[in-house]
Amino acid sequence: MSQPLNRRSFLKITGLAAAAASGGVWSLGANSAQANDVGVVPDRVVPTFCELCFWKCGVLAYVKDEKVYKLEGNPKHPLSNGKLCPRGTGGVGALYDPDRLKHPLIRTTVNGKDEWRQASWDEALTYTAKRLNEVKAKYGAESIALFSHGHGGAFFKTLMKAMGSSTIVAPSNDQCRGPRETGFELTYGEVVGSVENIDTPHAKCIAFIGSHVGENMHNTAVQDVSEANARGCTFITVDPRFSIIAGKSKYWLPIKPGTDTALLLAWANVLIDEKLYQREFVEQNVVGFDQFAAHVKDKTPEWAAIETGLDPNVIRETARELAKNAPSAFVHPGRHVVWYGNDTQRSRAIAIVNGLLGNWAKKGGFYQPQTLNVPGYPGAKAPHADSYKPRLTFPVATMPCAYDVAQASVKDGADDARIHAWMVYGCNVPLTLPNTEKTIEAMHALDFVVVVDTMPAEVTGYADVVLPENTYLERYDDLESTPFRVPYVALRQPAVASLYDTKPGWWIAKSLAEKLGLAEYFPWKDAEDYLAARLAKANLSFDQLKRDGAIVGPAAPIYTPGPLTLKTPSTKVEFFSQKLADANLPPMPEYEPPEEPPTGYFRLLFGRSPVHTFSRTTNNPRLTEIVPENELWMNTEMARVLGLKHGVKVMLENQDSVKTGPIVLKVTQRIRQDCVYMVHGFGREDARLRRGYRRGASDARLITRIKRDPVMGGTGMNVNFVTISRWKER
Amino acid sequence: MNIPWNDIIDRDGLSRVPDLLRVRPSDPPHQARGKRLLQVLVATLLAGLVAGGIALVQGHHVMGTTSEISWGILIATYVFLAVSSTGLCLVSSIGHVFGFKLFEPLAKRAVFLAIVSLLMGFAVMATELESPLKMARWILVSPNPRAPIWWMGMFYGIYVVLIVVELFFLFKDDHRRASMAGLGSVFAAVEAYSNLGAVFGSSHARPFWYGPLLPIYFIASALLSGAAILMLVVTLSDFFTNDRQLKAEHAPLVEGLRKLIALFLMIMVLISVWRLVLGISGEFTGKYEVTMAALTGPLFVSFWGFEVLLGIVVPLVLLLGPWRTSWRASSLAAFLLMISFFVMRVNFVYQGQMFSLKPVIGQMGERYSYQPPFKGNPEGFLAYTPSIVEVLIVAGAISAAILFFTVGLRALRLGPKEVSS
Amino acid sequence: MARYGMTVDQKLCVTCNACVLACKNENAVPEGEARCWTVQVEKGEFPLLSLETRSERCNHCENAPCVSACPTAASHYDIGGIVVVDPNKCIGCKVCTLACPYEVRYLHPDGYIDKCTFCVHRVKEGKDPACVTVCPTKALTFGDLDDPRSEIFRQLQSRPARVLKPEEGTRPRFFILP
Ligand SMILES: Nc1nc2c(c(=O)[nH]1)N[C@H]1C(S)=C(S)[C@@H](COP(=O)(O)OP(=O)(O)OC[C@H]3O[C@@H](n4cnc5c(=O)[nH]c(N)nc54)[C@H](O)[C@@H]3O)O[C@H]1N2
Ligand SMILES: Nc1nc2c(c(=O)[nH]1)N[C@H]1C(S)=C(S)[C@@H](COP(=O)(O)OP(=O)(O)OC[C@H]3O[C@@H](n4cnc5c(=O)[nH]c(N)nc54)[C@H](O)[C@@H]3O)O[C@H]1N2
Ligand code: SF4
Ligand code: SF4
Ligand code: SF4
Ligand code: SF4
Ligand code: SF4
Ligand SMILES: [Mo]
Repeated sequence: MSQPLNRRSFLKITGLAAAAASGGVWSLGANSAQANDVGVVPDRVVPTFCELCFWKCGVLAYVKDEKVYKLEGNPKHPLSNGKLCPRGTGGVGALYDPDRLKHPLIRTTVNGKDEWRQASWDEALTYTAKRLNEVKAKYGAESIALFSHGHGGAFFKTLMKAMGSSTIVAPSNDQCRGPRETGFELTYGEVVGSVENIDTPHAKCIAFIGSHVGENMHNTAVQDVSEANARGCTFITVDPRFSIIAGKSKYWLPIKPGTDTALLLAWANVLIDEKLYQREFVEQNVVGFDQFAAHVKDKTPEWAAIETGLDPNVIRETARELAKNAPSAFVHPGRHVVWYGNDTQRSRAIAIVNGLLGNWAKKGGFYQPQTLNVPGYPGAKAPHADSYKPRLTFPVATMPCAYDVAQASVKDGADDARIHAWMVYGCNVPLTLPNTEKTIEAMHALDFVVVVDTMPAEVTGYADVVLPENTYLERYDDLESTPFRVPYVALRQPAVASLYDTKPGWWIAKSLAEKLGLAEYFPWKDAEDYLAARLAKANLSFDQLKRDGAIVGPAAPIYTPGPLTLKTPSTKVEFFSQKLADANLPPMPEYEPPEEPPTGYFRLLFGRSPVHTFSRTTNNPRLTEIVPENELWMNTEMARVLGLKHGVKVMLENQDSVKTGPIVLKVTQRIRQDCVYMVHGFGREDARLRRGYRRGASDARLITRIKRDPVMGGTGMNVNFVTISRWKER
Repeated sequence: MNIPWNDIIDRDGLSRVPDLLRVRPSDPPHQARGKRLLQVLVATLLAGLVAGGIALVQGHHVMGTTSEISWGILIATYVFLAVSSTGLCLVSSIGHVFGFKLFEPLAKRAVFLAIVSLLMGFAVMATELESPLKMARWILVSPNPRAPIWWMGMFYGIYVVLIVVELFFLFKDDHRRASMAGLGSVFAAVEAYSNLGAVFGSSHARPFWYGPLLPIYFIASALLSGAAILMLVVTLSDFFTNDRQLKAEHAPLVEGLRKLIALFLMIMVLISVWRLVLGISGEFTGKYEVTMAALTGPLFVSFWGFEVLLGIVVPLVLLLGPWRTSWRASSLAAFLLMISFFVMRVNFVYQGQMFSLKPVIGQMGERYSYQPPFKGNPEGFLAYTPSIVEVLIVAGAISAAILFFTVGLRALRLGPKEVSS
Repeated sequence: MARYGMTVDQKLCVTCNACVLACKNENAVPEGEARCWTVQVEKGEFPLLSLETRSERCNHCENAPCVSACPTAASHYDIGGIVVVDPNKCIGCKVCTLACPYEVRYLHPDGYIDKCTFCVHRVKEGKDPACVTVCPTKALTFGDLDDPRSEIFRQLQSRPARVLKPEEGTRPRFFILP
C-alpha cells in the first residue's frame, strides 16, 4: 500500500488553486478618498497577537468592509506597547498573499506520476488518521514525529502525546537556542527563555556577542535596547560584521569568527585578575569559583588577542567597562547560537562572565520572570506519552533534536529507520534544517508526511497530505502567557472570517483526534468554549480579553536581593558543572579554535533582515516589496582582489561543490575579510511562491556540514566555506 | 465683425486636399514622392492619436517616466515645438514687424506654422499631464502667480491668441494691425518662452537646469530653430513643387536665411561652450556629473554625435564651406539642425533629472544605501527609456504639424500664389 | 498656530522600515511607491567605521519650492504649515516633483502627485503620525516646534540638529538628530 507513495517527488502546489485572488494587496483604501488624507473609519478594531515571528506581540487589526487594512501595536499588550516591528506591521500581507494554500490537498498517483488532488476536509482528515494509524500499528507511536514551531503547535503537541509519541522536535531548539538554554540551565538552573529575561532597560553596559539587535527585530527586545541607548547605556558589540547595533556601540570588536569563547575567558581573566568581579555575589552564590579562576589564569587578553585578532587593550578596557557598571551590566546571552559546535560551552562562558558581574536576579542584569498561570480545560484527559522515553543521544539534552529525527528517518547502514511518519506544523524543514538535500532524502524515505501550513512552502511539496491552516488573523488559538517582566495573558482571535477553505489549528487537531479515537483529549466544543472555561477557572474575564487583547496580572518582584536558591544540583551558580563532568564533558568552558577556511574560501555567515522572518515572509507581498531579496556582503578589499563590483550578481559554491545563487553582491567596509554574510530565508524553490521564487540565494543549501554540539546536539552551522564567482547570465 | 472668409479660405484649395493623398499614375515623380510622404504622415498621425488616447485614459503607467524621471520625451517634444513656434514668430517678425523686407513673403506661412506647432505642442503636453481637463479649470480658479509654469501657461495663451489675430490681419492685408499684433505676439512669445526657460532655470533643486544663462540660451536656440524651419519650408516646397522659376525667386531668401542660421548657430556655440565650462568648473554636485555624463559617460553618443557633430560641425561646414551657395546643402544643414535640436531637447530634459537627488556616494566617500531601493544604478544615474506610447505620440504630433501645415498651404491662401495654386 | 515638525534620532533608529510599512498601511500608498524610506550612510574604512541610520520623508519646508512651483496651488500649506497636495486640484504636471530638492514625491496611479502628509488626518485627531506611532525605537518625534512643552521643542533645544540640504534655502521642518 505504501509502496507507490514512499518515494515522493516534489510537488508544486497551487497549480490547483489556480484562480488566485488577484488585485493588489494595497488595494483596500487605495482610492482617492483615503489618499486624500481623511483616513478610514474602521468598522471594528480587533485586538489579537502576531504570528509573523514567535515573539507574539499584541496587535490591533483595523477592519473595514471585512478587510483588514492595517495593523497597529496594541498599547495594552506588554510586549508591543503600541509598537510593532516591520514584519508585524506587514502582517496583512500574510492574510492577503494570493499564493496562500486554499484547500486541503492529497497526493495521488495518476499514470505513475504524483499529483495533487483537492480534497474535502473530511476526506483529508480521514485519510491522515488512517495512514497515521497504519504507521503506529506497524512501528509504534514513537515512530511518528512532530515538528512544531509557532503558537498554534500546542494543539498538535497534545494530539501527538495523546497518540503516544514524545518525538516532538523544533528547529528552535537544535537549530537555534538549544545550546544557550542548556548552558544557562547548567549554570543557573533556569533557561533564558523567549522572551529573554534580561533587564535591558535598566542596564548601564551590555555586551552583544553576535546578537544583531536591530536586524534581529524582536519587538520588545528592540524597544528595550533603544530605551537603554537613549539613557546612555554603553554598548559593546562583538561581531565580525559591523552590524546596526555595532554602529551604536562604543566598542566594536570585529572578532575572528568562532573565537568568542577565547574573548569570554579573557574577560573572565581580567575580571578575576584585576579583582573587578562582584565579590559578595560570587562568595554567596557561586560554586567552583577557585577552579574556574585557576582555569582562566593563563587566558590573558594577550593570549586571546592572538586567537581573536582583537587588540588586547580593547579586551581589557571592555572587561573593565562591564565591571564598572556591574551588576547593572551583562553579556547578552544571544539567541541563535548554533554556530561552531562548541556552543553550549560558549553559552556557559557567557553565563559565567555574567556570574562574575553578579547580575542574576539583579536590576539591569537578569530578572526573575513572572507568569500568569491559567489552568487547563477542566476535565480534559491529560495527554501522556507511552512508557517510551525519547532516545536522546546527547548527555544533557531535555528535548530530542530535529536534526536527529531527520537522520533517523533514513535507513542508515544496518540500522533501520526509526522514524516513519512526520507531522509538520509551521516548520519549513528543507530551509530550516542544515543540508537541504539530506532533509529531502529523509522526506522521500518516510511512509507518511502531513503538513499543516499556510503557504505552499517547500516542505509542502514533499507531503502526502497538506492541511491549510487559517492565518493568525482568521483564527482563535490557545492563550498566551509567556514568562515576562510582568505576568500577563493574551488572546488570539479572528479579525475576519476565513478567506478560503482553511481551518484553524485547534479545529484541525481536534477533528483529527476524533478520527483517531482520541476525542477525550479535546472534550471542548470549540475554541471559544475552551478559552472561556480556562479563563473562568483563572477568574479572568473573556470579554475583557476580547476587548483589550491582553490582561496584565499583579506585578511581583523581579529582582532578588541577597543569596539565591537556584534549581541547579548545588542550588548555586555552577561555574564548575559536576553534571558535565559526570557526562565526561569539560566541566568548565574550554576554548576550541575554529577550523581555518581553505585558501580562496570565505566563511559563510548569515543572519536576519529586520523585514523578514526566515522563509516565513519571503513571499509576503508587503514585506518583499521593501526587501525583495538578500545580498551577499563582502569586504571592499576582497572584492577588489576578486575584481567584483558592488551590485553585480555572484554565485556561491561551498566546500562540497554545492552551488547557490545568483545573489547580488554588497561590497562594504562593514565586514571582515575572512567571511561573507547573507540573510537567511531567501532563494525559494517553489515556483508558486511568485514573489519569493528564486529571489536571492539560500544559505541552507550551502550548510552541508555541521559541527554537533556534544552537550545537547545543536547543529553548529557557521562551519561552511564558500568561493564566490561572477554569475554569467546565459 | 465681418470676416472675409473668402479672402482667407481657398475653397478650391480645400477641395483639392484629398487629392494630396491620392497618388496617380499621372503624377510626376516629385509629386508622387510628396504624396507618399504625406500618406506616411497621416498614418503616423493616426497612430499618434491612438497612443494619445491610451495615454489620456491610462495615465502615466503607459509612459516610460517614473517617479524619479518625471519628465520625459513628451515634455522634450513640447519644448521642441514651443521653441519652434517662438522661433518662427520671432524670425517672421523680423520681416513684417521690424520692416525687414526680405523675409516678408514668409510672414503668413511662418505665423501659420507657429500656430500649428504650438497647438501640437499643447496637444503633446495634454497627453503628458495626468489630468489635462482639470487644468483649464484650476489654473484659472486656483491660480498660483508664484509659479513660473503658471505664467508660461498664461503667456502662451495670450501668445496663441495674438498670433491668430496677427495671421488674420495678414490675410486681410492690414499690415498696420498685423504688425501691432505681431509686436504683441513677439513680447508674449518672449515672455512665455522665458517663463518656459524659468520653469527649468528656476529649479534650484536641479543643478543642471538651474542658472541665469538658461533663458538666454532658450531665446538663442529659438531664433536658430525658427530660421532653420523657415529654411526647410522654403527649400522643401521648392523641392516638392519642382518649380525652377520659383527657386530662382527664392534664392535671396535662402541666402538670407543661411546667413542668419550661421550667425545664430555661432552664438549658440558660444553659449553652449560657456554652459559646458560652468558645468565642469567648480565640480558642483549634480551639474558636474551630468555634464561629464554627456562628455564621457552614457550620453557620449547623443552629445558628441547628435548635438556636436550633426548639430554644429556638419551644419557649419555645410553653411559656410565651399557648398554654401547650394540650397541642398543649406536645407540639409537646416534638417540636421532640427534633428539635433530634438535630440538636444530630449537630452536637456533627461539630463536635469538623471542624477538622483539622493546621493549614492557622498562627497566624503560615504556610501548611502536606501530602502525601499530607489531605481538608481551604481553610478548614481537614473534610467529613462521612452515607452512605445510616448514615441508614437511624439511621431504623431510632429507628423501632424507637417501635415496640417501642408494642408494649410493648400486650403488657406498662404505664401506665394504659385505654391497654393 | 502650531508649527509642526518632526525629528529622527539617528542614535536610536535602526533602519528597520517599520515606519515605511506603517505609512503604507495608513495611507494606502500604492505598490512600488513609498512616502518614507530608510537610509544607511556608511563612513570610514574597516575597522574604523561609523554608520548613520535614519528614515526620511518630505521635509515640510517652511519655504517650499514645491508650493511655489505648483500652477494650481494644489500643493499648499495645511494646518501648522504641513505641506500637502490637494488631489482634486492636481493636474499632474510634475513641476513640483522637479522643484523639490529632496526627491520625495511620486505620481499616484490615480493621477495626482502624492507624498508624506505628516498624516495630517491623524494630526487633526490629535494623534501622532503612523510612522511615529509604530517606531519600536522611538526614533521619531512629532510635535509643535513652537510649543516649549513639546518633546520636539526640548530635543531641538538640547541637541544639535541638522536638516538636509540647508543650502537650498527651503527651511525644512524635518530634523536629524546626530
Ligand atoms: N527580523 C527578524 N528578527 C528575528 C528573526 C527573524 O527571522 N527576523 N528571528 C528571531 C530568531 S528565532 C532568532 S533565533 C534570532 C537570531 O538573532 P541573533 O541571535 O541576533 O542572530 P544570529 O543569527 O545568531 O547572529 C547573526 C549575527 O552574528 C554574527 N556572527 C556570525 N558569526 C559570529 C561569530 O563567530 N562571533 C560573533 N561574535 N558573531 C558572529 C553575524 O555577523 C550576525 O551579525 O532573531 C530573532 N529575531
Ligand atoms: N540556514 C539556516 N537555518 C536556520 C536558521 C538560519 O539562520 N540559517 N535559523 C534557525 C532558527 S534561529 C530558527 S528559530 C529556525 C526557524 O525555522 P522554522 O520555524 O521552520 O521557520 P520558517 O522558515 O519561518 O518556517 C515557518 C513555516 O511556518 C509557516 N507558517 C507561517 N505562519 C503559519 C501559521 O500561522 N500556521 C502554520 N501552520 N504555519 C505557518 C510558514 O509558511 C513556513 O512554512 O530556523 C533555523 N534554521
Ligand atoms: S516581533 Fe514583530 S513579527 Fe514578531 S511577533 Fe512582534 S510584531 Fe510580530
Ligand atoms: S521605524 Fe523607527 S527605527 Fe525603524 S526605520 Fe523607522 S524611524 Fe528607524
Ligand atoms: S521636501 Fe520637497 S515636497 Fe516636501 S515641502 Fe520640501 S520641497 Fe515640498
Ligand atoms: S503635479 Fe500637481 S501638485 Fe505638482 S505642481 Fe502640478 S498641479 Fe501642483
Ligand atoms: S508622517 Fe504619515 S505620511 Fe508622513 S511618512 Fe509618516 S506615516 Fe507616512
Ligand atoms: Mo531562532
